[in-house]
Amino acid sequence: MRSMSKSPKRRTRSSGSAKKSRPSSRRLVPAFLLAMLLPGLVALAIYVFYLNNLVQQKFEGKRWAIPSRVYARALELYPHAPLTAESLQTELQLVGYQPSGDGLTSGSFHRAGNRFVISSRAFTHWDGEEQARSLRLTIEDNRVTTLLNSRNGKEVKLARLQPMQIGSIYPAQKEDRILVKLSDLPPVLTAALQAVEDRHFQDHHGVDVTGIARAAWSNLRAGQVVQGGSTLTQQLVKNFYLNSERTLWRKINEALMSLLLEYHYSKNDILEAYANEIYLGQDGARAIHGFGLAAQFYFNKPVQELTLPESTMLVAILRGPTYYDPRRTPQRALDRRNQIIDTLLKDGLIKQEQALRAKQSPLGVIPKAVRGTGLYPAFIELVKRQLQKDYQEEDLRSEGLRVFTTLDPIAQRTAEQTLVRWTQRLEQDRKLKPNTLQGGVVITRVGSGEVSAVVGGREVRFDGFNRALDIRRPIGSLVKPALYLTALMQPQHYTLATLINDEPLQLKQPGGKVWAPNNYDRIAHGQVLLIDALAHSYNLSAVNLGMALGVNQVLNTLRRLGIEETIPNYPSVLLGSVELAPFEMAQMYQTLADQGFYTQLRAVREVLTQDGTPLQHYTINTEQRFSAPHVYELNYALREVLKSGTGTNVAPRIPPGMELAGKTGTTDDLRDSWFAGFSSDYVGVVWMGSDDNKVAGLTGASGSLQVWTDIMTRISLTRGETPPPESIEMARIDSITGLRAESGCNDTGRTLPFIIGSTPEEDAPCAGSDIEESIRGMFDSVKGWFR
Amino acid sequence: MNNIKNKLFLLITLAIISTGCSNIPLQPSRHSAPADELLTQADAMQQSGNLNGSIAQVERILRLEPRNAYAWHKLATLNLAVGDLNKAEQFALRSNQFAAGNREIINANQKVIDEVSRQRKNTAG
Repeated sequence: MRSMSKSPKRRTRSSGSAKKSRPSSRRLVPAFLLAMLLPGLVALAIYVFYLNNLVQQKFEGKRWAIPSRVYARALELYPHAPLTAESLQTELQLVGYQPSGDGLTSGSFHRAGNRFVISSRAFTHWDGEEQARSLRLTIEDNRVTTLLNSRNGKEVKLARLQPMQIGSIYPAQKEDRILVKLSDLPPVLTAALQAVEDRHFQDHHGVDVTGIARAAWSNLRAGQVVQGGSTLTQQLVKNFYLNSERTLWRKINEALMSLLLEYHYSKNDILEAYANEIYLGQDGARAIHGFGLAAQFYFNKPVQELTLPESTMLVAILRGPTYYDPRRTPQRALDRRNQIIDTLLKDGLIKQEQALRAKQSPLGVIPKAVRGTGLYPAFIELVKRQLQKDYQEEDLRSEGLRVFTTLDPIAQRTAEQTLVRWTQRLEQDRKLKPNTLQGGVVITRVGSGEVSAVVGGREVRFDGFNRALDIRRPIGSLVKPALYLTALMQPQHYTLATLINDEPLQLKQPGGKVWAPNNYDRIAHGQVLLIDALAHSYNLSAVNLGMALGVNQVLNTLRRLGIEETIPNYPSVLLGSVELAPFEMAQMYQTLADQGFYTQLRAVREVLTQDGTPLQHYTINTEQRFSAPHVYELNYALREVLKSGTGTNVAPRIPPGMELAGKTGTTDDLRDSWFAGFSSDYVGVVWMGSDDNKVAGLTGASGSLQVWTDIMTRISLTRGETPPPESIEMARIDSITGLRAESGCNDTGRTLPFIIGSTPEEDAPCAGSDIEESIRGMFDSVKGWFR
Repeated sequence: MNNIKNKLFLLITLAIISTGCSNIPLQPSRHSAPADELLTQADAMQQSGNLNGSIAQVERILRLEPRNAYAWHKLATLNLAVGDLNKAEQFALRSNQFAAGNREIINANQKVIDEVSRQRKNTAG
């Protein structure tokens, strides 16, 4: 019994136990699995949560570091505007306007001789939007003679073209892009993109299983990878969040993130992000991203203006920007483009005749334009320096600021071409070692102090040593206007007709050394008129006069002219031993061109945020530092430099009526050749020499003056003399004695300006008289001592 | 509070200028078409209180015509209105430089310079 009883008990127990253990063991497996999987699931959930945050944070935050875009000045068109037909055509091409049969489509122009039809694009300037316009204009005698609305024939008073984009200030990774909205893209571009890259884009949820299967089958049959199965969303995720490594882990992340992206955002949001993210080419170190920039890079036009063949070309390129590079492999790119056009036709997205016309179109890709900092690196450097006073470097590289500068592309191009041509020519003529002669140029606008052009060297696109801003060389006789202005500021003692001693002298230097300056021609000229001493750049006159005035006085004038550098008080400063850059010389001569008003040189006019909100306006900053009549007298002498002085060799090249003034500068052993001066429109400074400071063999007149003259006579269009201030009177003066030329004498005199009250009153003896003969004889004998 | 003070200052300054200049109905003797166009815009901006916008338009004129004495004068009055006395004075002097004996402009510039002196004295006092 016991046993019986036990047994069933046992059994019962056993059976009971079996009853309990069966469900328990059934539960144990999932429980065990759950126990095993739970951490995994929790980890996966956390990971997905993490990815979800990542996807949202980056997509909703600042997606890209956008470079600052830098623009040239906008060309203003108005009746009587000084402009040549060639300059206008150059400007239109630089801005990216396409020549066309009638000039009636936006962003195109038509030229017939001196007549233009231009359909301008709308553009948001600092002070508001300039509407797109259709203009008809005529240019005659370097002036706009008519400016009409070509649609209604009404006169247009003023029109402003969009400015040329001259560069960007990049983020560290050198990605460049122009952000576009989906609505900016031509419909055929988005259609082609989806037809070629992701047919089921509108239907899938981020990952297209059928697409993967189809790609896998195609690849299997081909024995190699011929087709990708990634959706546009996956491509965006790969480029935007991940990298291009081919690992399973990356693919899993890509798929998960694509699903998350599709879960949170609309198809349009994703397509717009794709259009801005996608890599489409390389421009040196600069990576071209997005259709907005690619449209500029390949076709020099805004994306909105892309045609069917151009749109399909961009879609062709994105499959392999190097492999299908239309500049390097045009036929391959053309074939690919035409395949895409066929696809569009097959899908019924375009008509037969559209397809035929598009396939017959040439690639239409512009020659590789240098953009970024590469186009005008020397000017961009100046812009950066000005901006760095007000903006953080990081903001300039990533906030997409729009910087409107003062660069005049026509003046810049002229300056570049002229410097390059003359360096080559001078090397050949003077048998210099090729590619050793260097130069730097700065051109600014009279009046506003806006910098129109900066050339940093003969390799004008090379972003290297900027000679216009950074080379520091003795300025030689460029300093002399400061010396003579110091004298002319004392009209009771000095006028243009004052006799100055051009005689040898010796000066003891602080270290005990004796300094004995000499004239370039090693001749002492005796007593010369102040105007001649400056025009002929006599060193002995300069030192004699400077010592009489006091070096400190001259240094003070230099400071007031705009030289901020601390200059030591040595007599040799009077002959320009101080080392300065061309840009500093431009600031100094700007004050002379502005008739005594110091006007701070500026390269930036305005800064806008990425969305067009005005941030900063750099206004004209000017201050009267010299009396206009004093500067007028000095400038009169500086004009004489080019008429009869050291710069006379270019006189025949100066157009009639053009008023040019300036000063040559030459340093010891002909190492540095300088010229600084101005027209009615521009101030220009040119330096030429060798980087290693070896002898260049050029004087200011034989080198830099040649470059300067060619630039200034091409860009300056204003004619006529500067009217003298009210306190100036003209008087006829005897050229030898500086006294009034008597009306009854044979005329050996010249007319000079004087501040009223300072004009010589005493009459000079008539030419041929005993006194004059004796004065001449005295001068001749003095000259003879030093020959 | 500062904002109210600034607005009050602007209103007073504008009132002073308008009083000062009302004696001289300064009309430039010769306007070019673009200067005319831009001056109209500048005046409209000034009337709507956008003085910085108005300054930008006048600077645009000076880029086209750096010797336009009237534009320099206008820039002087606008800078006086925004309280930049140094600029107001210097632009008035610059205007005189190109006035070529035009007494109307020279007198109007002198009024700006006098007003600058008066305000400086007030500040110093």
